Order: sequence, then C-alpha cells, then structure tokens
Amino acid sequence: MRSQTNITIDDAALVEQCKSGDSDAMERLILRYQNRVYNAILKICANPHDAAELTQDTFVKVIENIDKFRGRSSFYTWVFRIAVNLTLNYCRRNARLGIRSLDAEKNHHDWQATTLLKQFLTNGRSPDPALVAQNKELCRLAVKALMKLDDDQRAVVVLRDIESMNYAQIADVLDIELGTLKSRLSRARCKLRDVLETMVK
Amino acid sequence: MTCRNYKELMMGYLDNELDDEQRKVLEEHLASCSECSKELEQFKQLKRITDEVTLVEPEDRIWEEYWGSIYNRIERGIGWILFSVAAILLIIYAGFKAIEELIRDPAVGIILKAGLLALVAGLAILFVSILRERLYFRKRERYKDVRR
Ligand SMILES: [Zn+2]
Repeated sequence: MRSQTNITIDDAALVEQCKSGDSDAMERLILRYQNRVYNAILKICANPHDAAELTQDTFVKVIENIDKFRGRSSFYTWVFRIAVNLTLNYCRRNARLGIRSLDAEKNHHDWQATTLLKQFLTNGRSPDPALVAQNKELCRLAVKALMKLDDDQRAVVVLRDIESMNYAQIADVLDIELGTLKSRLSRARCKLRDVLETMVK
Repeated sequence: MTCRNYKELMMGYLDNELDDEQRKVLEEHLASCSECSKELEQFKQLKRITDEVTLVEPEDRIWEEYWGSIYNRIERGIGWILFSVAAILLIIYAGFKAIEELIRDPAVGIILKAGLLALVAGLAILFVSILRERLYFRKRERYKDVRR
C-alpha cells in the first residue's frame, strides 16, 4: 500500500496552489527556502541584520509577483534570482556610500585558524578534521576572504560552493551565459586562492 | 590549448560538470603537465576551505513576527502609494490656490504661468518623496554606527 503522508508536494504544485489563493501553500514554500536564502544572502552581504531584511524583501517580492511567475525556470532558481539581485543591488549601494562591513577592516587573525589555513593550503597535509570542526575561526576567515572578491564573483562562489547549485542553475539565477559563468567562477577561485595565500603569509 | 585554457575544465572537474570527453581531455593534459596537476590540487584544497563555510542556522528571533511583518509590508506598500498620490494632489491643489490670482491675471505671460504650475507640481512631488525617505530611513538609522 502506498502511504500518502510522506509524499512531498513539489514546488510547482505549491506554486499552483498559491496562484489559486492558498496562503498555506505560500507559507510552505517560504519555510522551505527561507533559511537557505538567508544563508546565501548573508554570505554575499556579510551583515546579519541586513541579510534578514533582504530575505524579507525577497519573499515580499515573491508574494507580490507569484502571479507573474510563468514557470519558465524553476521556482527555486526564481527565488534565488530575486534574492541575489536584491543583494547585489544592496552591495552596489553600499559601495557607492562607502559603507564597508566591520569584519573586512580587522586585519589580525586567530593564530590557530591561520595555522589551519596554512595546512589546508600546503599540499599533502590535511589538518585534523576534529580540529577543523571546532574552529569557527576558519569559517570566519574563509568568509572574510570571500568578502575580498568582487560582488559578482562572490555570488558565483556562494551559489556553487555554499548553496551547491549546478552550473545550469547558477547561470539561470544570474541570467548569464554558461561560458560567462565558467570564466567568472575560475577567476573567482583564482582570486580567492591568492587572497587566502596572502592571509597566511 | 594553453595551460590557461584548462582552468575552466579544472573548475568543471571539481564541480562534476564535465562530460566524458572533456574529462578525458583534462586528464590527458594533467598527466603531462605537472604545473596544472599541482594547481588542481590547490583548487581541491580551496574547495575544502569553502566547504567549511557551511549553513549557519539563523536565530529564531529573525523569523519571529516574520509573517505579520511580510504582510504588513505589502499592505504598507499599497498604503504608501495611496498616501503619495493623495499628498501630491493636495499639495498641487494648495499651490494652485496660492497662485490662482496670478494664473487668472491676463497680463501675466503664458510661459510664466506654465512655469509656475510646473514649479508647484515639481515641489509637491519632491516634498512627498523626501518625506517618504525620511520616514523610511528613520527606522534604519540606529544601525548606522554598527555598519561602518
Ligand atoms: Zn598545464
């Protein structure tokens, strides 16, 4: 016998329910994505308060525009496209106003984290996984290195390595050609490597 | 193909985005080029570092009153539009009343009249837009020190 309970309703079905005015369906869609959207935004803008606000902006737009969503792309990439566009606009506005996040200014790092990072970057030596797991500082360092990338480059790395999207999905979110995505990703990772290397020097 | 051109293939390799043929092309090059295989190792390590940047569960308070706030904001958006339209119309009307006599005076040139009307309309729109911005940004100002 087939059980009805653990069938997960897919996005497309929920979207249809939303369009017919079912607000529970919208709530389920938002609950499904809000943490991941928040995370991606936070990793791009590096400001927890503004990330929360941008997440909210994203879902306000989703609710307002769900009727216009034609399903040419998936709901998932559509939500992220709204989120990433809002966040990149926010970054551009901040850059214009000369606002930089507090984190980017500090220049001395935790000694242990730097050592771990050095081990990571040196070929052939893998640091103790347990040590890595408890070291939040390493994560912070990586985030800080990410902040040194251009906004567009950072968005690509975040969607690929943190949100684990495939190339086709990222190209869809950013509305760019696959070739553009590939070269941007390669440039972003080269720069990230250089930034991390100067951090441990 | 120069070593530079293999970089994108390397990315595709790391991200599992290569088809069999591309993979073969890259592997053949890696076998004969120590520079590139060294670089690939570096990128593998780099990916392990970015993997450390994991999902941070946001604190629950972020989602508290979240729903109310989302719908409030949609309503407020509509409210703002009505408010702006009404305020602009009222100010234009008041401005028009203030210069009505001038407008009705046949001695005053048509260009001057048109200019004055445009001025009134422009001031009204500007005033409402500044007012909106002031009200909107007031709530954000307490964070301005944190962000710098
Ligand atoms: Zn090579």
